[in-house]
Formats: sequence, C-alpha cells, structure tokens
Amino acid sequence: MVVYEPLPKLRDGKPLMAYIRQAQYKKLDPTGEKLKMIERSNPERLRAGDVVSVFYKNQKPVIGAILMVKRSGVASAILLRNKVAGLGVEVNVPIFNPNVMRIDILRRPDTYRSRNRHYYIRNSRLDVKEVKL
Amino acid sequence: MIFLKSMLRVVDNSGAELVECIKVLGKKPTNHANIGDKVVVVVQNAKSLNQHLTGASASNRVKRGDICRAVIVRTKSPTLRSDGSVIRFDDNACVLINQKDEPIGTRVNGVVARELRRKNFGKVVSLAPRVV
Repeated sequence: MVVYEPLPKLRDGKPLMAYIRQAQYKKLDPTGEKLKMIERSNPERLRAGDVVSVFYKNQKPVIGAILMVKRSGVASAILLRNKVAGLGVEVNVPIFNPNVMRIDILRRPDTYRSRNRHYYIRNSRLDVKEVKL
Repeated sequence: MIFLKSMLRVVDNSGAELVECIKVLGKKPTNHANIGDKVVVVVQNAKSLNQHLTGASASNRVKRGDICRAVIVRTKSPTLRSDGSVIRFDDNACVLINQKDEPIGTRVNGVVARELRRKNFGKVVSLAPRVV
C-alpha cells in the first residue's frame, strides 16, 4: 500500500470567500479608505442624514443627503437624495467604483434621525432641502 | 417604466401640461419606455391659448386632445447607468417632439437625464437648464 503525502492546502487554508473578498478590497481599495468610511466601528463613518459630495475622476461631483448606506462588500453603495429646481433626484453611488475619487462630508446633523434607512422622509415635511456646493 | 395609460408631465413650452401615453415606439416585445425612448401621447391638459403670442411659439402650440410624439426625460423608475450608479426622479416627464425628433417647444424647464444625449436628443439636453 502506498501512502501519499497530504496535498498542500489551497490558499494556506484560508476560506475561499474570505480570500476573494480580501483580493477585491486590495484591487479596488488599496488604501483602505473607502472601507473605513462605511465600517460600523468607525465613529466618523458615513451615516444616513449626512450631506456629502462625491467627487469623480471623469464627471462632475454628485451632492446630496444620504438616505441609506448599503453595506455589501465591494458592491457597497450610498443613496443620495437632493432637490434640483424643486424636484427630488436620487442617485445610488457604488463607492468602490474606481472612478470615485473621494467622498467629502459637507454637513452632519446635530441629532441623527431614528432608523438607518430614511426612506420615510421622501415627500414629507422632513424631506431634504436643496443642497449646492 | 412608461406604458399605455401612463400620465406624464410635459416640461417644455409647447402648451401641454399633462399627457397620456398611448403607444411606446420601437420597444417590442417589452412594451415599456425608459429615459430617452419615444412614445405617442395624447394631450390631456393644455394651457389656454394666449392671443398675444406670436412667432414660432404660437404656431407650435398644442391643444387638448392633440396626438403627438414625445421623448421621456425623467422617470420615477430607477435607471441603471454604465458605471453602476442608479438614478431616479420624483416624477415622470417628457418633451414633445415632431416626426423628425426635434422638440416642438423652444424651451425646456427643469432637469433632464444625461442619457438623452447618447440617444441623439442633444437638442433637448442643450435646451435644459440642468442635466443630472
């Protein structure tokens, strides 16, 4: 009977999904800045209610108040709502998009509203006001 | 998602205020229109004709019951962009056009979506005060 040596473990025994996630972050977010922006442990993280401007490499900045932060790895996105000439406009921005250079927080509210997703403020008296640079 | 019976706001100075979609053009078999698509509409509400108007804006006025073509400029339904972002507006709006895809009115009020330029409606985009 022949006894073979055990095969070396793939990826040093690291679980596949953890390995893929790390590779994605390394590719799309080498500095770790974007991941830190949405991490719950960070007190300076982006939160629903903040007024932010997103700066791109190839297009004009997008400004608005955050309605929600969707946390799902490299597909994480923020939903911005703004009023343009009295009309509500919502833009969902995937923050790990390589064309997104940086996200600046223009204003934070004194007290945050309840709930993490502020869908309920649409078309109510709590709705966002027109924000400009 | 504009289809038969959808009501649209008109954001030009053609005189129409509210129109109803009666046909989506060039979208078979999926019969709903998104930003930049052409539809046939019937005018449901129009501003009363002002006698003092002269020139091009007077001859291009539309009345209640008129049937004309329109291009969608804003939708409530989210529109996916090539960079992964999604845009949605708070209302459904259109601009009336003629058979040659030129706008009937001479002015466009309010915001329009950037997608129109790629769909050969650069005239509408250049008339609009804000492009998102």
